[in-house]
Amino acid sequence: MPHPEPIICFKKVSLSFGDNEVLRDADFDIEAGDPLCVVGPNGGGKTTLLRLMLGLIQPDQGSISVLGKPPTKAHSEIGYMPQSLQFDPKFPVTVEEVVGMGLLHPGSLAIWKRRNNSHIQEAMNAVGIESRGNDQFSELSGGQKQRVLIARAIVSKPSLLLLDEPTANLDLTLEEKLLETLLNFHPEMKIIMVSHDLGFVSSAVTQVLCVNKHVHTHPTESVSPELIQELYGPSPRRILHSSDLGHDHHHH
Amino acid sequence: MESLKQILFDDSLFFMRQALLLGILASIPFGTIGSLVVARRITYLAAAIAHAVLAGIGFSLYAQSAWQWTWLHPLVGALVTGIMAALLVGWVSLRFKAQEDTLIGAIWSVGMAIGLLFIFKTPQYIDPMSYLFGDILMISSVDSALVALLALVVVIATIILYRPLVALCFDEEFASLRGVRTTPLYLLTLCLTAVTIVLLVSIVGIVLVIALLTLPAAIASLFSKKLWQMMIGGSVICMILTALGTCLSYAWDLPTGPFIILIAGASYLITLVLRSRIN
Repeated sequence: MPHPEPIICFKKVSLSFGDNEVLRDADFDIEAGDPLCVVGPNGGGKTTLLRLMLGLIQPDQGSISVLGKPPTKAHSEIGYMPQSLQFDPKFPVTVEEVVGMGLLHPGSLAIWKRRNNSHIQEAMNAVGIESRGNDQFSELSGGQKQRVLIARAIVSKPSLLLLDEPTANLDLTLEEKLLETLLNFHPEMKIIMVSHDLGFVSSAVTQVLCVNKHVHTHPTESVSPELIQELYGPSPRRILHSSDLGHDHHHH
Repeated sequence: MESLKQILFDDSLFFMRQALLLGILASIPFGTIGSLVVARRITYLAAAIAHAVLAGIGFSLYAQSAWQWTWLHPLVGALVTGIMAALLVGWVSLRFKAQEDTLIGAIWSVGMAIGLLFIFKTPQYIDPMSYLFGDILMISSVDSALVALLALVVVIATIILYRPLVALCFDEEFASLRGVRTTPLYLLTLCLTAVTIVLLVSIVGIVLVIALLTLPAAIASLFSKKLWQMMIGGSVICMILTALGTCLSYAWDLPTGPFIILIAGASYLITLVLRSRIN
C-alpha cells in the first residue's frame, strides 16, 4: 500500500559536526514509487542523510518525518544496510543468524519462532546465499557478506529500504539485477540507496538525490555532466563517456 | 588421579571438596559470560570491574570487624560494589568515549585503593593476598550456596536474552534499529559480568580472575560457529581447568589460583599453536 503522504519529508534540515557543516537547509520530499539514488562527493553528506532518516543522528535545525512519523518511531518499517560493518572478524555467528537479526523486534527473546525460518530462507534465496546458511559469517568473502547484509535488511519486508553503497563489493551477476531482485522480493518497498557508481545509478533508477551540503532531487535523465561537475567539482579522475547520464554508464 | 580420589573421599579435605564444587558451579557462568566478554571485546572493562570489587570486600571486612556488621558477608559486599562498578564503567564507556581508557583505569585503581585502605584499617589482621590471588581455605558452604544461586541467575538471564545479546555483541547499531534496547542490555551484560567475577574471586582472586573469565571462552571460540557453542564449550573447558588445577595444585603443594591460571594460559597457547598448524 503506497503511503498517502511523502515517504520522507525533510523541512529546512541543517547539521554540522563541530565546525564542519554537513547539510544546509535540506528541504525536500521523497514520494512513494520508483527507487531513488543518493549521489554526491565523499564527505558530501550522503551517509549522514541516511543516518538522519534512521534517526541515528538528530539535526541541529529543522524536522524530519519518515513514513509520516519521527524517524525513531519508524524503525520497525525500515530495512537498513550500512556501508561498513565494524565487527570482530572471529565473531561466532552463522549467516542464518545474521539474516535473522533483521527480524528482531522490541521484546525479542531467545525463543526462535519456527515461522521465522521460512522468512530467513526466502531472503537468503533472493540474494543467492541459500546454501551458505550454516556457514560462519566471518568465513565469507566481501561480496558474500554484502549479500548477507542485504538479506538482513530485507528479511522483515520493510516499507522503506535504505542501502548505503550496496554495490561496493557485489559481483556483476547480482549488481546488474539488484533492484529487480529486491522489488521481486517485496514490490511495495521504497528503495533509497547511496551509490558512487554512476553507471549503476543511470541504468537502475529514475530519480537521483544530489547531496553536497545542499540537497536537490532530479529525474535521472536530467542529470547532465554540468550538474555532475557542479556536484563533484572538477576532478581529473572522473571520466564521462557520454553527455547524458540517462543513456550511458559513467565511471569516476 | 590419586589426589582427586583423596579430595573426594578424605573427610579432612572437606575444604578442597568445597573448592572443587565451587569451581565447577562457577564455570557455567564463567563460560557463558566469558564468551560475551570475549565476543564483545570488553575484557578491559571486565578487568576494571574485577579490581573495583576489592572496595566492597574491604568495606565488608571493616564493617564486620569495627561495627560488628556480621551479616555483611564479603561476597555480598563484593557483589554490591561489582554491580555499582559495572554501571559506572558502562556509563563511562557510553558517555565518554574519548576519555574511556583513562576513566576506566581510574575506576580500576581507585576501587583497589579504597579496598586496601579499608583492609589496612580493619582492627583484626587480614591478609590482602588471599583476596588478590585467591585462597581456597576462605571458601565456606555459604559461598557455595551463593555461587549456585548466582550461577542460576546468570544462566537463566543469558538464555532468555540470548538473541538480543548476540545482536548487541555483533552489531549494536543494527540491534538498536530493530528495537533492541541496547543501552540497558549492555549495562545488564556488564552487571552479569560483575556477578560472574565475584563468583570466582575466592578461588583465583581479583588479580587473576579475568584470565579465567576470558581464556576458556577464547579457547572455545577457536572451535565454535555460534555464540551458544562458545558458551557451552567455554563452560566445559573452565570446569576441566579448575578441577585439574585444584587437584594438581593440592598434589604438588602449589597455590591453587595461580596454578589454575597457569594451566589455562598454557592450554590457550597450545590450542592456538595446534589450531594454526592444522590450518
